[in-house]
Amino acid sequence: MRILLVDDEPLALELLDALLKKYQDIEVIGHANNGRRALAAIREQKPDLVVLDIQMPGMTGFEVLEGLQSDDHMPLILFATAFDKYAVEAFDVSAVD
Amino acid sequence: MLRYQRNPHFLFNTLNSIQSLVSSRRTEAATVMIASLSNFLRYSLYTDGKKRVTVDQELEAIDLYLQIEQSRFRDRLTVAYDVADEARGALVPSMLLQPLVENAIKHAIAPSEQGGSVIISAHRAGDRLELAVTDSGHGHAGLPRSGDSGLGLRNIKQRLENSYGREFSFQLIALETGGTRAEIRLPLGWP
Repeated sequence: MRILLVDDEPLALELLDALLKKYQDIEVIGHANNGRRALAAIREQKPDLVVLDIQMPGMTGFEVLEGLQSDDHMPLILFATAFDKYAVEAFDVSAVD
Repeated sequence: MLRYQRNPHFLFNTLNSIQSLVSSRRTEAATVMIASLSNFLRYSLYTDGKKRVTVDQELEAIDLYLQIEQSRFRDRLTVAYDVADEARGALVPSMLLQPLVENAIKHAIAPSEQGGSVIISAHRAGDRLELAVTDSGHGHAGLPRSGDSGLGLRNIKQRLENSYGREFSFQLIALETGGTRAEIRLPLGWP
């Protein structure tokens, strides 16, 4: 499975990298540190799964998802957030549990 | 008195960062960050609220704080010091500038994709000490600041009143660049 990691904090990206390294069937194909870059990377690299931070400067994770709605390629989205209140909203925009 | 209670997010974020470093087996970076956090908390928790420290000591604590934030924001955070030698030994209430630096990061760095800068300055102006924290802003004028920051700023003003009566000034200046400059003038005092 090809995964794109999106988080504005480099340390969070490194943590995810470290955690995912253990799984042989997972390939981290790249990082994006803001929503704009995430959107571009998703369109260019067509990952199977995107681990998407919600609160980022500029474009939020929700806005990235909105931007993808009319695209042909829609990866699975896994929202990663430190804030409980966003988790509920994530289900509203139909993120995978 | 526990004075570093204004922003529990900082502790939370720092512990998350340390966890990331440990999980990625970057032991040395984790050790450095734990030491910075520990030293910063010691300074902020165990220095008496009325205690005065030298500008140099206050800058040392700010530096610990900024080292931690730097490892979170990396190249999005640029820090510069503009401190006159003759100001280094002057006295200031402890933990006076740190909340201003924290504000600057919260309002100018965290919400900005490309990041920005925070400049900390201390100069002598006649019989006054002039301290300032200037940030590069976030595209729009930083004033007025509300919520937590408003409370933090009110605390600073209150502490200055308690220490200096009417003999101080504290103002937030919205810069044309979109940034904000927090400026404090105090009577010069020496240990």
